[in-house]
Amino acid sequence: MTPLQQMLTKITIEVHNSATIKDPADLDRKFSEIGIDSLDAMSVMLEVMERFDIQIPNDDVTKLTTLNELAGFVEAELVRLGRKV
Amino acid sequence: MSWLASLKRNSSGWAVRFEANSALPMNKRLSNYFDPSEVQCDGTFEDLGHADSVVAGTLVYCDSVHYLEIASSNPCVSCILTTPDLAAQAPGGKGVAVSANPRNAFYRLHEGLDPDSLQGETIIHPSAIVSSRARIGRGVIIAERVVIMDDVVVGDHSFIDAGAILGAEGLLYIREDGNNQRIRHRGGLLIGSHVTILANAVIARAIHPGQPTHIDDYSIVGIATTIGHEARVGYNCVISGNCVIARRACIGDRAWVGASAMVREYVHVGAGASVKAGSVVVEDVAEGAEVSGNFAVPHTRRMMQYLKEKK
Repeated sequence: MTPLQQMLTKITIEVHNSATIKDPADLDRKFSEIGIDSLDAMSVMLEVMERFDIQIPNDDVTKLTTLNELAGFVEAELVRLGRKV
Repeated sequence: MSWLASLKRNSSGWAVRFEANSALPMNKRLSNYFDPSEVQCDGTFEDLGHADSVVAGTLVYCDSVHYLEIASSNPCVSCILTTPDLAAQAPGGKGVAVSANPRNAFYRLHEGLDPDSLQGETIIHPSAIVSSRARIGRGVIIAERVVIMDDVVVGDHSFIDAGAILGAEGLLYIREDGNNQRIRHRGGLLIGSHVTILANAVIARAIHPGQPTHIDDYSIVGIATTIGHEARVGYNCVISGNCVIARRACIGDRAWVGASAMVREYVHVGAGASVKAGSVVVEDVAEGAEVSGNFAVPHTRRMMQYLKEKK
């Protein structure tokens, strides 16, 4: 896992400690498949916004359905803002 | 044995399947219920249940790695029904069957019925009251203390559970000399085919003939939900328990309404929309949209607001 993926995994476990993330392949599974409901997923994204000081528009929130999709969004946003990934 | 079970003994189709199920051995084998190509590892089970079952010998379905992990570590789970993709992660020592849609396969087994077997006779519990001016289709089941009033049509293969009232008077009044004057409802109620109306639901008849309150085919109306006069619930909708669908509201095809939601009169909920539990919907909802809250707004916005306030 990349440091970003590790960070997102850590945040997810903090939000919901029974989330099932045992394997890098789980980062490509839908949130619901790893035990994260929509409210948990939203909590993860809110936490990500705060820790990375970025915004995830409401329209994008529902399009990010896996941790890897979220990682891709965060990475692109940091690049766009000229900050270190 | 329930009244329905005893009545089923006298009907075709259902009776055969029901009795066959009753005679099943306590220890059931996966290979007796699934095609050999679907059984990855044969095993026995006593009954069906959830991944966190506390009953020994439970067959469960797992359509996500999350539930597969719970089931795998649960000694009460003896057999797992899952997807071909997830089956590779199933633990040894448990029976494993695969299906592209394990949930549907699981509930087909639970019902003990094929879709073709839903062809039985109409069964009306002796305590139900059915107006002579109502029309009841084929294969309808009407449970205890149901009341079906004048000018109600119930389509084929629908299920009306205990205490439901179909065709009740709705709330409409005028003021005459300062007093409330109730307006009698003269219209009908049309329930489509394969509709499920759960216990204690109340659905009002229309005010005028020719424009009935309508619940379309395959829709489900939850426990204690009330639906007002001339409301329309489209095809294949789910209206969960304890909801209020006010008069002349329209719920589009395949829409989903969560428990205890309220949809105001004349409001149109678009096809495929999702109204989350407890919502109060006061304006139209676009096709496919998700809304929540009181008053309901886009669900994502509501959740963000909730989480920010909670912090």
